[in-house]
Amino acid sequence: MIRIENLNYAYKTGAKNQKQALVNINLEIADNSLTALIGHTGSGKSTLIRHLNGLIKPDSGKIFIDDTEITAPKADLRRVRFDVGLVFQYPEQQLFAETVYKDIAFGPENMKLGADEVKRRVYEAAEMVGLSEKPLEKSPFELSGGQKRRAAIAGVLAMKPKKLIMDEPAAGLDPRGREEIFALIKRLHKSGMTMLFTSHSMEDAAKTAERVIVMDKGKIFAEGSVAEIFARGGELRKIGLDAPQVTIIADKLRALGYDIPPVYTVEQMLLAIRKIIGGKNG
Amino acid sequence: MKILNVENVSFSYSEKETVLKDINLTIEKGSFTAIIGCNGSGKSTLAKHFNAILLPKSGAVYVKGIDTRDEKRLFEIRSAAGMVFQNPDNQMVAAIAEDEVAFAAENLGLERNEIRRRVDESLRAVGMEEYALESPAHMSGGQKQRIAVAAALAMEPECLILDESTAMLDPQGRAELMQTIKKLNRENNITVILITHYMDEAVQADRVIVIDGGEIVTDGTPRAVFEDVEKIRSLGLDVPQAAELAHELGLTGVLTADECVNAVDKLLGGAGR
Amino acid sequence: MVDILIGQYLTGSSALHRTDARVKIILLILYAALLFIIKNPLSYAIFLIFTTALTMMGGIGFKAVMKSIKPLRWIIIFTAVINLFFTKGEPLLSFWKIAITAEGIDLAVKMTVRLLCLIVASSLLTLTTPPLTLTNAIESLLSPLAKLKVPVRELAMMMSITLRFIPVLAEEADRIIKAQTARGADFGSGGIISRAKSLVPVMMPLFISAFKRAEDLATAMDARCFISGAPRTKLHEEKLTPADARAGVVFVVFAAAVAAAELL
Repeated sequence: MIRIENLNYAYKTGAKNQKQALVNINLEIADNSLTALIGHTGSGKSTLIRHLNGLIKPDSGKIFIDDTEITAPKADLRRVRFDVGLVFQYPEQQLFAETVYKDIAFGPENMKLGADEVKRRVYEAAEMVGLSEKPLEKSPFELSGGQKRRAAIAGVLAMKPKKLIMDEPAAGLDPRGREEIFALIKRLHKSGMTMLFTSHSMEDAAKTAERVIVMDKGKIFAEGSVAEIFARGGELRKIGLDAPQVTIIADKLRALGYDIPPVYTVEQMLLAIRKIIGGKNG
Repeated sequence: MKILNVENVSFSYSEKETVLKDINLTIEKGSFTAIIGCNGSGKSTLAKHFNAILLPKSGAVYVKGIDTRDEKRLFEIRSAAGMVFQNPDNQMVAAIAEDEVAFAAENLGLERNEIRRRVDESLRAVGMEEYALESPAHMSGGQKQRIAVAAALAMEPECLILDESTAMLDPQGRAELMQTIKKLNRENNITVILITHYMDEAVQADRVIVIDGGEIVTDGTPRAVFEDVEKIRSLGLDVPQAAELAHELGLTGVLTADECVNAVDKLLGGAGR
Repeated sequence: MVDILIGQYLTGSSALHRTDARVKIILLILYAALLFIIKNPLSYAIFLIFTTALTMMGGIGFKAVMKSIKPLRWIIIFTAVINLFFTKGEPLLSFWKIAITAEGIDLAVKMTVRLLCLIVASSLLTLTTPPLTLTNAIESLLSPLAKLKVPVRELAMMMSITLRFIPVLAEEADRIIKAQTARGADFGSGGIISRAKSLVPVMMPLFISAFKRAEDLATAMDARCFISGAPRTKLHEEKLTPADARAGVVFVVFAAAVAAAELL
């Protein structure tokens, strides 16, 4: 479980302007959940997740990971970082080693694990992200864009975190690459990991997550199940999130008087329309 | 009139693999074309042939009838086909917006008054005239890319090529940039070539060209291209949800959300209201 | 956030901002020269007042000033301490082998004021002048060297681009450090060798990114008709304006006040 209590944070720019980035955040993220944190650029979502493994210290407020308060003065942040994996945006930009294998091994080696354990974890992590053995001996820079991203994610998975947080995991990928990443997120969630990812796409959140947290101007704007959140599509569009096209189509049909619930995937929309057709014929 | 002519162009970076295979293509002046394809399809490599950043290994590219291999006319070629790139931070030379916009005009060796006029007009064309003295470092992604568009406009190009310029933007930034280039296409009669992997952007063009494995696999109106849902999917691309929905329901001629609403309304015929 | 002010010009429209960068550079050089020949404490006071006034006129906040001083604080302290303890003269206080002399105090204070004034005045130049304008000014001042086949223009361009990319790369370094920290990297402990080794995961990605950015930028410059060595024109007027004349007059008055103080 991740619990955030009354968290506040302001950027210290040094110049005259201090920018309040996070305002009185209270949140709880349950174990084994799959949560999307959505909001437009500058809403504070990246800043918030960097707090969750102690990379940023809040100005005030507390963060608990399971029963450990990581904001306590003497918190063992290194251990926290092995429990809470954080994959940055464009993580492939952090690849550095001569081979993909060595890159993935970086995390486990920092944990001071034995050579056999490191090896076991590298292969396991590579398999999880769908990299076969062959690319492991290659230089990370020879891989394709999507492969690089998955290799970088494997580097975090190899630490076997209980919780994995990903910042804009699909940014910059083409549709096929996006699909692969979201399939991976779902797979990791099924394997028992607590997953949290940020996105500015309502569609990605709708397709992948169970719960959705919406941030706007450094505050929690809304929080709930996917259905609860997307029932409020109009409000979300007002704060600069773009709704899936089907949601807009459904809204317009509803305005015409059709009995169509708020939907956010093509499948749900088809179901709603077919139900009406069924009613008409039967 | 044709502004761009691509004739039998093949290109490769190394002996091992061919990136572009025998591409033939013409672009009409004043048109708005989207070139789509997944990562590694060769779409960006093709775009870089349009202003002589890359030269074909075989075949030829003509900009306004000028062969891009004609080094003596490089300025003419490049100022006719302005280009905006993917990463807004990596294409900026200056620390102040108007200096950035002035850069190309300065390179062309224009008179000071003429540079001033072009800078002001370009900034106005992208709606950033109020930011002339601001630093792009403090701007949003969408604003930075609009400055980059203005920076290309300062060459008074007839054609604007956007090489995945929306890829690193958030939805707001993308919408901003799309609005800007559509306005330039409509009001200033600038030919637009948009390289993207966002289908909702491609839908807004007059013509969509799909590239896969270095070859043109489909070329037509967005309506025609996206009607073939299976083909687009097999290429690893998305189909706009409106088109996908229509396809599943067996409706034809649907591309936009509104068209989809009308078609579904017709299909249901008022039932369930 | 990485605290690097270079290239982080503060937008504004003060008289200081409007003064031609070439004028500012020349006046800064004269200012520095003057600063190192003065002897009278009154002159130091005039320098302090003048520099403070300029800072306020430029609309530069106290924090921005402190930020430019901070990286050099050890040099200032070191210089002050050296002067304080190692100046020969009449000891005021002495313990063991160390003596504090009146001359030492005098020199230490003077050196500190000198350094502070110099740092603040130089930061005023970079804070009120966009980097490109600054390099254009340097280029213009050095243009006589072009006759000696020194590639002044290219050097100036290189400098301005370097300045522009420093904040970008600094931010990137910060992000990479955080990302590797999230993978358990430890930058703060161990001997020199293990510390140097721990930098590889930061430096490698940073270099790769810098090269990629350089390549992107070169392409973007090509696309906008930049040809190295080709003649270019300039958007900005190189003519001096009344604001520059005023700056000159203000400086002459200041220099006269200092001269008067010296002759008193």
